[in-house]
Amino acid sequence: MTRLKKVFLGSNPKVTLGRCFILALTSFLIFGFWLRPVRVVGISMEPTLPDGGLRLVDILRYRNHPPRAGDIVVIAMPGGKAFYMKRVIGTPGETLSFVDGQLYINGARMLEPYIGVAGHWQMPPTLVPENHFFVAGDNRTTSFVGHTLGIVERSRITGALLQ
Amino acid sequence: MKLKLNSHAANWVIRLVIAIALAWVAFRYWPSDTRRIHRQTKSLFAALSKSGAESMPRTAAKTLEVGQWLAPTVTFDLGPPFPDHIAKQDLVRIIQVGRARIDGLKIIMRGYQALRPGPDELWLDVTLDAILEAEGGRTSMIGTYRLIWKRSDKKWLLHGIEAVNVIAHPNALVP
Repeated sequence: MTRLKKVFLGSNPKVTLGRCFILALTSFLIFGFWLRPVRVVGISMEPTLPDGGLRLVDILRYRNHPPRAGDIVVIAMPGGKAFYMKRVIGTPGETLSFVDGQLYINGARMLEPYIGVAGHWQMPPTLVPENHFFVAGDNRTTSFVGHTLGIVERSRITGALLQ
Repeated sequence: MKLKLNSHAANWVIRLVIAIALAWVAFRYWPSDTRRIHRQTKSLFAALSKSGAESMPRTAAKTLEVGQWLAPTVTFDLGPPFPDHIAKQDLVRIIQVGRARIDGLKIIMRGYQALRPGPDELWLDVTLDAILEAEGGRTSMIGTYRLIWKRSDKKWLLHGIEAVNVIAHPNALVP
């Protein structure tokens, strides 16, 4: 019993307790205020993010600059415990459209190396308002109507995926 | 680097941890309308949930439990096929029939945000994760909804449910 106690608490239990507290505080600060571990649920970001994978989200990334086109961002749902994970494909002031699965921005055809199959999405030209972003998943084989994509407020974007 | 803590400092660390824990418990469980509505909403979803086969009296009891939190008329802003509003007794009947037809339903609240438009009104924006089992299949869906609770005679009742679109789909933008 004494040996077991020594293994777990060391020769000076108060010092061990102090170290445990510092370790817990450091972990709490890192994983609570900087890097948040998240589990990917769903197939909307395949093939980039497979269903069930564990990832880290940098929640300080957009403190000083706005998201950029191509970034994978996390979008907070009410309560801040669940998030959408999407790719930014349109920034404020841009006009986006899909023609037979091909993305056009301001009339120019865009290359999207991150998608597997282009799919057949159709969308009329849509202007991204100020302080908003256009986001979509990388899996374009899903139906356009059933896929969660579209315009999101800047304030909802709470971080970026650590790649 | 070697970390050394003397016993005096360690005592202070322990006191600090206890103080933080007590403050957290007080903050977490301090009574307020928001917490009351949160608990009520959790109970509502627990009553709606179903795990495996259940007897008819149990279905009736669960439906009655749901009914106690509903206003005489509940309004919906969820789009088709949901109507604009529905009377309490009709909604209770729909829930009862629906529960009998499904094999299982699990509704998990993934977070909430409360808004207070008036002293007797509270909006709870909730993120819901629902797992539905029916006809041998299993469907999982996540969505955000606004539950409109209003106080009448010291009792909070659910008056409306609206869809909250965090990401506005392009189809919804077309007039």
